[in-house]
Amino acid sequence: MLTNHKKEKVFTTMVRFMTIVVLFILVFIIYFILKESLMIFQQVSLKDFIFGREWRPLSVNPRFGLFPIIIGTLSLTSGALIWALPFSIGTAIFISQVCPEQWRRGLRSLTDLMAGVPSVIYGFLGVVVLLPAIESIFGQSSGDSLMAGIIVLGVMIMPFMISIIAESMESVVRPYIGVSKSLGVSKWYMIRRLVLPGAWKGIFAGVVLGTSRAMGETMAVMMVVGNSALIPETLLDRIKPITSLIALEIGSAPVNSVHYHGIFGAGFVLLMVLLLINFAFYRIRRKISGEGSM
Amino acid sequence: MYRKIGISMIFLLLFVVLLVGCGDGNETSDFDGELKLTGSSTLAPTISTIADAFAEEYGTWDQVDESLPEEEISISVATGGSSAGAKAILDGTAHIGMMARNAKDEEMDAMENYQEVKIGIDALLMAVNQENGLGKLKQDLTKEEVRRIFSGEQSLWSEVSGDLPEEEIVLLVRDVGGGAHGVFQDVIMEDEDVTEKAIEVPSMSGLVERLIGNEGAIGYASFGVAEQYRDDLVAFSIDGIEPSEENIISGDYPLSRPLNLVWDGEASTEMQVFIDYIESEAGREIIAEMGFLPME
Repeated sequence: MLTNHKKEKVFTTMVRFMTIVVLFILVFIIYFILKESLMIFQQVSLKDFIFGREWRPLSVNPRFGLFPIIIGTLSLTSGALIWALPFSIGTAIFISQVCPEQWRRGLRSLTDLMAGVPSVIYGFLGVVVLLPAIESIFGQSSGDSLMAGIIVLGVMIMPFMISIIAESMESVVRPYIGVSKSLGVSKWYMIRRLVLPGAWKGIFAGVVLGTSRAMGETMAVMMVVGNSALIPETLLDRIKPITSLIALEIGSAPVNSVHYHGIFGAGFVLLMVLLLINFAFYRIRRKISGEGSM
Repeated sequence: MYRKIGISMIFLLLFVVLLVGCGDGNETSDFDGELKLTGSSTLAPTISTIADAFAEEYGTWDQVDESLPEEEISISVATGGSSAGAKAILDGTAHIGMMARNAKDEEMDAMENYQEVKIGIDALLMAVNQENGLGKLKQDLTKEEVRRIFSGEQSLWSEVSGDLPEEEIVLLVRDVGGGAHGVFQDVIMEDEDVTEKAIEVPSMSGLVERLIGNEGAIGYASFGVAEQYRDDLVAFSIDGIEPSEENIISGDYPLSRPLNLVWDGEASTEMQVFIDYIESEAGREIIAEMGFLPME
């Protein structure tokens, strides 16, 4: 028989080990991508790689310029956030504050279900429903566009944002709900003065999660944005985000060719952009909430 | 102190995994009943269908050839593109690679003794929707005409012919690295690049669906897929050569790609018997059913 103390020790060692494994996987991913992409920077300078205007890996005169592709990813992600965020906040307010108690659970499971729909299904609906709609509304020859990507992606990140925001709104209000009710404060006053300011951390977390999800989404986006490596000037232009580039090209690039390393380089840039954005969010958060306080 | 232990554990793990990462690979010497193929997603469905028929007919390997073990026939077919096929052979993770293009020199050089067998041909047809004006206007395109359209030199249908509407030409292509695009690039575009405005579609069936759904689009469709939608599409002849079966097999029709199986060194018995089966009447029938042209 193990004593309780011993059991505790075994347990502690186990969870510590698991954490180390998980951390290690992360380190390994970054290490591997960095290792595989270093080669491209011997051929192309980092500046040309990031600011070059043309991605022609297999041309007679190969060029590795990611700029239109990075712009594609950034415009797609910010576009999706811009329309998904207000909807997410609104829905979260409704779920956590407005709707009758007995609906809450059902609505929450519905949004969770939305998060579980495979991305290829969203993409498929995008191709069949959204693209023809854009073609007829805007008189385009083809509906593949930044706009189609933004719409599909916005729908896809919403459930995650709703879930996080609604949760934080519920926890913000809980301590005050009795007092507010007994004071006869109106629901809308409470939402404006208590819920929204109190839940900003949740909203912020929602934005962070939404951004990461949006930047990494591949399949659904690839099906509706046209994958043309151009810098978008209007919402109806086609784009090629980094994830599409990787998914479309990695299968056919001979291993250890310049093209192969170029694709890993693109993956590395995506990872760095994501880390930078997350870091920026973290700094902003610290600034707003004052030093240290969580 | 725990921190120190934690850090040293991380390094230890890193070291172990690096060792493991370097060590794997060449362990295909003794056969355990599972034959592995990797490569082109164009070829994979055909090969797995043939593999099913093969396993059903024989059951265990010793039924095919006495020298083989009495193991159940198991043939795994993985996809990842033609290049992944060549890579899998180099890494030793597959016995046979499937490639929907000719191997590149660097791929052949990397192997000790490159071997290939051509099991069929896939042709690309330049096609438009039945409703498209160009299809009604003519049946033939020259390489030069196709190149002008795909390089972006002509971006409106009215620039191709005065009788056509002043609408954007929607160009549909597969990903630039794919086997299908490689053939198109070599045969039609040569040194020129396809314009960046072209829409890259992730799969051939997706490309043909788009073609059927969009009057203003032009693209290349695989022979097999185009056959399935014969009534919805108009396929052009190239430089006066029709994309007919005879012309494709004889090699006169320019836009075609070989379907190859590749391996390194001497084929083992289990590989040889399966390749023989693919080349048999039964195998060739399946290849034709899947929309490709089997070799004679």
